[in-house]
Amino acid sequence: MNQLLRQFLLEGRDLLQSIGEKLIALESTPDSQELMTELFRAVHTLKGNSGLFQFPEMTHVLHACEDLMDAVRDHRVAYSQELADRLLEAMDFVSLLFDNIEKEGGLDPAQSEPAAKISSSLRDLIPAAEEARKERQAAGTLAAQDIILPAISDLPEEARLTAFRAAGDNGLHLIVYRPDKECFFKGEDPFFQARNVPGLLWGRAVARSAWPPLAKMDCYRCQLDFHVFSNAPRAEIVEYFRYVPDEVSITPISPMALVLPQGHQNEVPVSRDFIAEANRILESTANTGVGVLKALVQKQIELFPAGGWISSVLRWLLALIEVRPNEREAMRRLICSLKTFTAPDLSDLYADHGAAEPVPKASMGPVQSKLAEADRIRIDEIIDAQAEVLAQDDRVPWLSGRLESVGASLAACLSALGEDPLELEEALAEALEAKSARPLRDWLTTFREKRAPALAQQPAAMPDVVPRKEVQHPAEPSKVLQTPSFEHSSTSASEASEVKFGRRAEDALGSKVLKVDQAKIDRLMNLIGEMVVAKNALPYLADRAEKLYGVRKLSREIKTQYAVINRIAEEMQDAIMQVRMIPVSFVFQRFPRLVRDISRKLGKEVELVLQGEETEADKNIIEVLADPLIHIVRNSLDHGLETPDERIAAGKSPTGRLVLAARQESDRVFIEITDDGRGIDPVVVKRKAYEKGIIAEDRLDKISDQEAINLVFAAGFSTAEAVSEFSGRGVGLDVVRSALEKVRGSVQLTSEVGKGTRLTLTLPLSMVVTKVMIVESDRQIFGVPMELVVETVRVPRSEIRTIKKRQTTVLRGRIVPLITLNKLLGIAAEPIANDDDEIATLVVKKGSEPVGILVDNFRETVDVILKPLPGELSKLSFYAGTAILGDGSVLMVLNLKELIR
Amino acid sequence: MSKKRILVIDDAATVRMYHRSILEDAGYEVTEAMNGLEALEKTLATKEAFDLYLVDINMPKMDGYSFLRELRQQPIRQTPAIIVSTEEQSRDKVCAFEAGANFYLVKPIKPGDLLAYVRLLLARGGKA
Repeated sequence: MNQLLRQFLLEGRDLLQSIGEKLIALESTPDSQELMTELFRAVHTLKGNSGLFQFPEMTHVLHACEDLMDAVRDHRVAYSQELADRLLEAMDFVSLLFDNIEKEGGLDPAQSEPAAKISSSLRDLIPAAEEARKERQAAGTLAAQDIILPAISDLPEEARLTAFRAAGDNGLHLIVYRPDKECFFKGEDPFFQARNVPGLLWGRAVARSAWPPLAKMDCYRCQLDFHVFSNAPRAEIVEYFRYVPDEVSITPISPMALVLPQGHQNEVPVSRDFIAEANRILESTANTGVGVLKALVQKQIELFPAGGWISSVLRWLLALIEVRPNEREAMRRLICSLKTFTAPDLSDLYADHGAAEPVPKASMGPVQSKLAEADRIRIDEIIDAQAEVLAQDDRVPWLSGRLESVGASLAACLSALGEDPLELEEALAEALEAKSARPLRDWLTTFREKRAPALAQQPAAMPDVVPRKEVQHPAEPSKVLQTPSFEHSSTSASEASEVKFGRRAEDALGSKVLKVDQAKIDRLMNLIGEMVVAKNALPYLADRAEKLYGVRKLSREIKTQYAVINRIAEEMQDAIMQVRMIPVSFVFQRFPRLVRDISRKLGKEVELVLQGEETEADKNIIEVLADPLIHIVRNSLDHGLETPDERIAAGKSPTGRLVLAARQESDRVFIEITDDGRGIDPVVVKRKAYEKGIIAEDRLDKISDQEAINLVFAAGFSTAEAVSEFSGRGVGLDVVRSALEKVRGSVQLTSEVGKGTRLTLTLPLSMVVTKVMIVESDRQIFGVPMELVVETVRVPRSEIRTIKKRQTTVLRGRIVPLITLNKLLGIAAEPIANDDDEIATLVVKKGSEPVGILVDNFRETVDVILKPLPGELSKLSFYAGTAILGDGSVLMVLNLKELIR
Repeated sequence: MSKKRILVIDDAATVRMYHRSILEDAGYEVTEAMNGLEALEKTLATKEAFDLYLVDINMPKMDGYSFLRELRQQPIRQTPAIIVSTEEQSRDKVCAFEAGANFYLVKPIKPGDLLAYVRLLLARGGKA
C-alpha cells in the first residue's frame, strides 16, 4: 500500500469519526447551522479524497451523502431521524470499505451492489426534481470516471503491432467507448458506431465488468466497452463521436509506447553471435546495415516458437526496422531484452513528445512554434479564465490585487508563447489607474482576435467546423481517466504520471502533531521503568561504600549524584507518561451512537450525558476501560432504564437519564455510570443468587442490602430474565470486575430501588510503575501495593483485644479486625513488637471495611516494575508478582486482596 | 534560478500530500497550509514571496474565497492562484474568479495537467 493511500485511510477514519459525532450532535440541535456546515465539509473532504483513488463504490456513496447534505444545508430537505439513520448507515458502509482496502489493498467488486443500494436510499430523500438533476449529473461524471484505459500490456500484441505499423502523420489514438447502458432505447447502435470509427486499425469489444449470471443479465442494456486504435486525426474522431462525448475517451498514444514484447520465457536463449552482430550493425552509421539486420532478424524469427518472448521481441524489432529505421536506441534496448527477458523501458525515447503530443517528431510538419498542442489549449484556457475574472464586478476592495494577478497570469502566458508583454503591461497600468478592468479587457479582446486566425491554421488543435466548446468535451473524459490509479503506473502515454511517494508522511502532513507507533512509546516506557529501578541501586551502593569499605565521603558523593539522577529519572518518567496519556473521550465518544442505536431498538428514550471527557489516563488503562464500559452501559439500557410507559407510571419523566462522568483524584481515575432507572432490588438479587447456588441459605438473612447488591459481581450471576440482544449473554458484572482488577482497578455499585443505579470504576492513572510498600515479617521482606494501604499505624500491644476469638483494636473510634501477616502466609511466628511494645499495623481496605494486618516492621516505599509470576507459579494467587530491588534482590509482592478474602 | 515556491492550501491532508508529491517531484518548493487563515499567516510571515497558490474552496476557519479576497489586498497581491474544487459548477467558478482566482481546476487533478498549468502560470522568468 502506498503512502498516499495510507494517508487517505488515516485521514478518512478521522473524518468518519467526526461525521458520526456531528450527526449525533445534530440530533439534539438540528438547527445548528455551524454543525451542518462542518458536517458537510467533512463529507465533502472525504468524497474529494476518495476521488484520488479508483474506488468508484466509495465515491458513489459519498457523492450521494454530499448531495443529500447539500440539500439539507440549503433547507431543501429537513433534517430527520431517518435521514441521520441513513447517513450513519452509509458511513458504516464506507468504514467497511476502508477495512476492505486496508486488508486487501482494494475493493471487492461485489461491494458495488450494496453501494448502489445505499446511494439510492440516500438519494430517495432528496426531492424528486432535485434528485433527477443530480442523478443525471452523477451519472455523467460517473460514466466518465468509470472509463478506465486498458493497460498497454492488456492489448493483444497483434493489435499493437498493427497500430504501430499504421500510425501515420496524424498520430495514434486509443479510443475507449463506453456506451450508455440505455443506449439501445435511444436508437443508438454502439457496435456500428465502433466499427465505423474513422481510421480504424483495430478494435475489440469487452465486457464492462464480470458477466453476471445469465438469469440476472439484462440483455436490453449495453454491457460492453469498445477499445479501438485509430490513426485518423483527432479532430475527425472527435467529430465522429460528437453525439456521445461523455461516453468516449480519446487518448493520444505514442506508437513507441506500444512496443512491449510479451510471451513465455522458458526457452532457449538467442545465440550470442546474433546479438553481437546486431549490436555491431546498429553501432555503425551505414544505412545499408539496417537491411542486413532485417534479414538477420527474419531468419531468427523462424527459429523460435511464436508464443515465446524472443519471438515477440524479434517481431517488434522487425516492425521498428521497417517503420522507424532511425530508432536505433530502441532497437538496441530490444536486443538487450532478448537476454534479460524483461521489457525494455523506452519511455524516455518518446517522453519528450509529451503525453498529449502524439505526433512523432518526424511528422510534425510545419508547426511554427515548439509549443505542444496541449499547452496551446491550456494557455487558451488560462487566457479564457482571465477574461472571466475581468468580467467580474469592479467595485470590490481587492480589485487592484485581482487585476495585478490577472496581469501576472497573462504575462506568464505571453512568456510561454514567446510574445512581448509590453502592451499588456501598459493596459494593466491603465486599468490600475482607472480602477477598472476595462483597459485590460480591451487588450485581451484584441489579443484573442489576433490569436484566433493563427489557431484556425492548426487543424489538429482547433478545427473551424467544431465550435470551441465541443472540442473540449472529448478532452475532459480523458482528463478524468488517467488520473486515479497510482498503483500501476498509468498508461505510458500520460506525462509525469509516475508519482513517487518516497518522502516520509510526517513531512507532508505539515502538522505539528506527530503520530508515533505505539510500540516505540511502549519501549521508551519500559526502558524508563528499568531506569527507575536501576537507579535504586545507588543508595545501596552508597551504603556499601560506607559500611563495607569505610569511605564515607564517596558514599556521600554517590548519594548526591543519586539525588540528581533520581530527579531526572522521575521527570523523564513523568514526561513519557504524559505522552501516553489520552483523554477518556477516546472511549466516551462511541457512546452517543451506541446509546442511540440500542435505546431506539429497545423502544426507550434515553438522554446521555457525558462529563469530564477531558480527564486523561494512560492509554492502556483507557483501552481496558472500553469493554467494561460498553457492558455496563448496555446493562443500564437493557435492565436499568425503563420504557417511557413504565417511567410515566412510576412518576418519572419519560426520558431516562444516563450519565457517564470521569474525574481524576490524585493518582486515580474515577468513572461513574449513573442511571435513573429502576435500580437493583436486593431481594431479587438474593433470590437469584440463592437459586444459582452462589450463596448459602443460612447467609441469606444475614447479609446487608449492600452486600446483596454486590452479589451481582459474583461469577455466573446475571439478573436478566431473558437473554436479549444487548446483554445477559451469561457474562455478568464479574467480567467487568476482573477486567478492572487486571489493571489494579476496582468497581463499586450502589443502587436504590426505583431511583437508579451507580457504578463507580476506579483506575490507576498508569500501570507501568507500581508503588510498593516493603514490610518485614519473620525476617523476610514482602511488598504490598500502596493503593491498598489506607494507613500505617503502630498499635500498642495493650490495645489489642480479643473479641469473639478474633483480635481487634479500636482505631479512631472504629473497631478494626486484626490479622497477622505470618498467619496469612502460614509462618509459625508471632509478630515482633518494637521497643515501645507497639506492633506495626498495616491498615488496608477489604471492600469498604478496614482490616489491620500485623507485621514486624515497615520499610520504605519503592517504585517497582511488577512482573507477574512465571509459569506454574502464576497459579499462586496470593502473590501479585515479583520485583527486582536496587540491591538486586527479589521482592515478592503480595496480593492482599486474595490473602484477606 | 532558485526554486519556484508554491503554497498548497487544503484542509485534507491527503490532498496536500498528493499535490506536494507531484509538485516536489517536478522541482517546485512546496509549503502547506490547512486553511485560509494559516495560508495568509504563512504568506505574511514568509520572506520570499510565493510564486503560486493552489487553493481549496471549502475549509474551516477561512475558506478559499475569503483567503483570495484577503490575499488580493496584501502588499504582494499579484501572485497567480489556482482554485482547486471538487465541483465543476459554474456558480463556484464565478465565485472563484470574483474573489481573484486566476484558474479553476477540478479535483482529482491529473498530475500532468497540474504540472502543465502550474508551469504555464509560472512561465514568466522573474518575479513581477
